Amino acid sequence: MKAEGIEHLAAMLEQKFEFAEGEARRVVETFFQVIADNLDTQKYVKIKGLGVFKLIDGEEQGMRRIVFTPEQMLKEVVNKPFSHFEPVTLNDGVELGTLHMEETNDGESGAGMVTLEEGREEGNSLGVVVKEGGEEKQDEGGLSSVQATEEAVKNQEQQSMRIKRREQSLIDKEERDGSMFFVIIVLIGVLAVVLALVFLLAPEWIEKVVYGSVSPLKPLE
Amino acid sequence: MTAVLVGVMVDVWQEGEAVDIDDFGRFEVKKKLERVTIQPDTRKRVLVPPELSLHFVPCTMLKNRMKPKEG
Repeated sequence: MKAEGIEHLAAMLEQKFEFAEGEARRVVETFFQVIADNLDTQKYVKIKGLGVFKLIDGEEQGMRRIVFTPEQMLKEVVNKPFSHFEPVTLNDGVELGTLHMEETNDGESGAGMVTLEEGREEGNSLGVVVKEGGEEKQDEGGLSSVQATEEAVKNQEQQSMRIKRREQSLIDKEERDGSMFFVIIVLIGVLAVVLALVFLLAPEWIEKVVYGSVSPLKPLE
Repeated sequence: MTAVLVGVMVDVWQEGEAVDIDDFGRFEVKKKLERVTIQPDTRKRVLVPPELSLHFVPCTMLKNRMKPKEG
């Protein structure tokens, strides 16, 4: 994955403020130095717009973890390319068997395989990052518009799109089944109403149909 | 000033790139794959969508520095 260092941050700062030579770099270094210093003494540092750094003591002695929790807003900003996804409750009838098979047959190292897990355990995360072009790509329904720089990134995006489409088709199927049922109910209703009307308005006609031209109910002439 | 600095970093993360600070650590954007979970209470299967999240990996120097002091 590409990474930007202090140099990039300093250069961006220089664009926004007027700095003397090397000043911006010192600002960036001081910023992180201050975080580290305070983390050492206070065990807790909160930066507005960024998040919280915490020191958490491990069970063993001498073990101490540094935990960073990004702010909720920052989380949302980073996850923006995927913000249109929402958890989908799967109905009992929906089978994921096909999903499994097709995914593994793709030969893409099973990166997009759907894993069935008990409870809300964390899934294994892959160190591959998707560029923010994901959304536009989906809107245009094509892959040509975005030039993905890395092959892996591309694969990931395609995979997630394919999964999304498959999800959609599963949902569509459910909806289709539902509408068929609805149509049948309506047909039965219409039939019942028509029969009732015929009974009400034209009893003679029914007699004729059932008993032939001569009705036993009518006295013979 | 710090707000601007944080803003610059956020821009980098939005590009899907990491921010690597010498002698401090590395902020990475990671992709969590989509997965199916089972809600323990309702036994319903839920397809959880993929997600991009920000992670901080402290460098060895910072880890050592934060170790509890001897004695």
